[in-house]
Amino acid sequence: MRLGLVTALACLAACSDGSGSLDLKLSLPSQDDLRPQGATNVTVNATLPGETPISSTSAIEHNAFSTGDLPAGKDIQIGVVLRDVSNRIVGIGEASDAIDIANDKATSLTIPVRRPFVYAADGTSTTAGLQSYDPTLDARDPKYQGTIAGIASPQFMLSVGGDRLAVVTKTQVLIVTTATNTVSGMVTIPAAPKDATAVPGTHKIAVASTSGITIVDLDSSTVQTAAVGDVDRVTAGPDGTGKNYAFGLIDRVVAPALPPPLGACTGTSQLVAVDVDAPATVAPKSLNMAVSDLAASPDTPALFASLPCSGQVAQLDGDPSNEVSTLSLTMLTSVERAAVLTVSGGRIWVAGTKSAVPSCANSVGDVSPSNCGVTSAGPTCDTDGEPTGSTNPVVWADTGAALVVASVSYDGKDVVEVVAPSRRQTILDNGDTAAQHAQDLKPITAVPLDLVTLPGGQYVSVVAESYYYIIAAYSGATPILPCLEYHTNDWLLFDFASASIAQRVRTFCGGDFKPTSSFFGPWACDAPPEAETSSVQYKPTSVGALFGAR
Amino acid sequence: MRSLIAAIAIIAAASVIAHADPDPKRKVVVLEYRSHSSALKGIAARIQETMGKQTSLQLLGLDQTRTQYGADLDAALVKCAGEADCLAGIGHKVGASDVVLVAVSELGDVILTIQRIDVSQKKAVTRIADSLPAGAEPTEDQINGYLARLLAPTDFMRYGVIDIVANLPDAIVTVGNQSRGKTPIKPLKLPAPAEYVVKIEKEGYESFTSRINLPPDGELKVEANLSLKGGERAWYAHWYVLVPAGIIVAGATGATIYYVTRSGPSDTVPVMGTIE
Repeated sequence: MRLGLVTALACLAACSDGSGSLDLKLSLPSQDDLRPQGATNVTVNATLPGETPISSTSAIEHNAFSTGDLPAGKDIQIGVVLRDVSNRIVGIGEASDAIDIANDKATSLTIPVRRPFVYAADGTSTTAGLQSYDPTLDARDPKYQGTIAGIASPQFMLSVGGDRLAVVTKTQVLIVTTATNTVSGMVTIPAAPKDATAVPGTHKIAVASTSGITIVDLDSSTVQTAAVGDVDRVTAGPDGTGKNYAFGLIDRVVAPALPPPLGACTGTSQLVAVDVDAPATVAPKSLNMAVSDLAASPDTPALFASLPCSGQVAQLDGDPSNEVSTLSLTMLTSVERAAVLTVSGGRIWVAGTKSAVPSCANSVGDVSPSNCGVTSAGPTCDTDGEPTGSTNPVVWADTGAALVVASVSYDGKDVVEVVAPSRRQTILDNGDTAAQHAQDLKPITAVPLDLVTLPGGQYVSVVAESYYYIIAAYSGATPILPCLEYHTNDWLLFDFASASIAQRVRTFCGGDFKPTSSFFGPWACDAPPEAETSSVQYKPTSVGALFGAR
Repeated sequence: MRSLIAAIAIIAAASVIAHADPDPKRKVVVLEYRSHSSALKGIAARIQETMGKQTSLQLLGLDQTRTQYGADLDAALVKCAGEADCLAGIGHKVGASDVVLVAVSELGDVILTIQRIDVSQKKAVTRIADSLPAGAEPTEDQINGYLARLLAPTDFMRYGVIDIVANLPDAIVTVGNQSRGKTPIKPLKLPAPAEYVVKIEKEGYESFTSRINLPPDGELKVEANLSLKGGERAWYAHWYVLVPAGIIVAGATGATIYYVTRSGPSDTVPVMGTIE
């Protein structure tokens, strides 16, 4: 009955006079842990070349659906989104290739549909493995976090059509079949990766390394390297003719962790453009500016850069693939300490930091933010808990640092910014049997290390590292409270619909207290709330998402 | 069973215990309770389906409620035996505002009772009961009648939103033969489902006209880029052009959402699918 109503409503809009139809088969994993659950409606998205995407949604009845009409045409990219009764996305699917839809014959298409898993990896660890998060589940659900078996030293995770996940390790590209989360293939790469990206519209990935840019074809397992120097970051997108290029960032300037005026930020980065279909050695071009990250639009010839020193997002003008063309940057918007960015859904997504305000001590022991300068010592302590160094040392954070993620239109006019509340970390006195003596610290640094947009553009996942610091407190010559030097690592999910942090997992907390002989102590990180507790202690350095853009 | 007996006592009477104007988009759980009867198979689903057509309520059927509540829903339902405060507990656990309990029993005839329980008040605010001959099924009209008495009148008022955006200011906007002002114009909240003709006109420019089927709880965005007269014919004036308007927001009611299109011969195809 409902199905009939659905069809009738659809036909109110427009029913084809021809005999054409688009018959979709949504292929879901058979394993309950991987299969999207609770879907009550489906949205079919059709994107024609150069056109605004068209969507059609209907209820799912008895595992079948009938949506409104979609246009016939050539080279149409089809995607589907499954939502549950609360409108939460529970499944995503994309056709692996664009299709032609005729209005006089039936077109059949099978689309793999998966849960929108988010993946995180600690590129420095050999034991942490590949961690996954299922944002369709409650954070307290035991299956919300997981570890994918059989993957050692994952560095970067790239979604390739949704049915495959390319996991770049230190020596290989592993192809994970997402229907079963098992490794189904591998390709050896010539050097340890420093970054990797999927080439839009293909089954290829580009890997940056000290050897240059390596193009890996996942279908044919072929590997081609363009020896263009030591490439720190890589992104891929089309030029004006539709030819795909891998754009490499050389001499990357990492966004400084320390807040101004403590952290110096200088450098000049270079760009190199490699033809994905014919990788060859080309000369890099200077960008005449410090750049922390690059991101290319997947469907239009547009390349964007994050500028950590000036705290801006810029569009790169000029033709990077043309050896005689000069390059310039057009500023689009400001994002303080812009560190990493990506492009998705016709928008630029960038993560940066609202800097902390440090307090420093002058030569007579007065403490004030105004005492801080470029030459201020710290923020570290010696074994007595006193600040290391004598030149106006940093003593603590007056105002804590906070992560910021912004969504920016290509012209820079429409900016949506979500600032995460500056988080605090409680360090407990474990010597207190009541477990109530504590120091509640503000982060003096909070650095986004990587970000990925989830399909649909509502959620952005970020992995970040924060540092907390305060000097020891003395009563005369007796240390009462120790100096604390603690780090935390977090996996976060920003929700742009509500401008908030939807989910957060503290993946690591650890550090030192000095001196160890203070009146209170020993000290240790307070446990996070249940929903923020990580099942594995690790320090994620990269993040990826099925159907996501990184 | 305890509340069933109470319901039988008011056969064929609609007892409105309380009347307020609740949120027309609130979450409502529709559950079925049987007292040793196999009559009226699927009656709760039929009632839920009719509610879905006529209201904007977020409806959870038995399966969806079980997903949220857990596998022991059926046992809990039996244990409640129709008691309002107990059923309100089920509704509370799944975040619903109301629980609609459809109960079926047999006392010679088939006794159908429907009660709407306000979860926060933990009591039935409306009860309907009817007796049906054995083997008979309530007609659509009968179900409509039940719902008219069961739900608040405001539950049946439905709206959609048309958001009209033009590339030029001061263009005259007419929707459904009523002038709505000049661009830029705020989104219009209009009764739905209904068909509206949207016309955007400005002197010296090609007029933009689009026929829109506005679904309830949908938000349609109409983007009109008016072109100067005298040059090439405006792109949207060609017969084959799909007017670029579409629903950008929809409720979770599952109603079909579609793009606004021209009438007449189509370059479109229907989309159907299955989930495997």
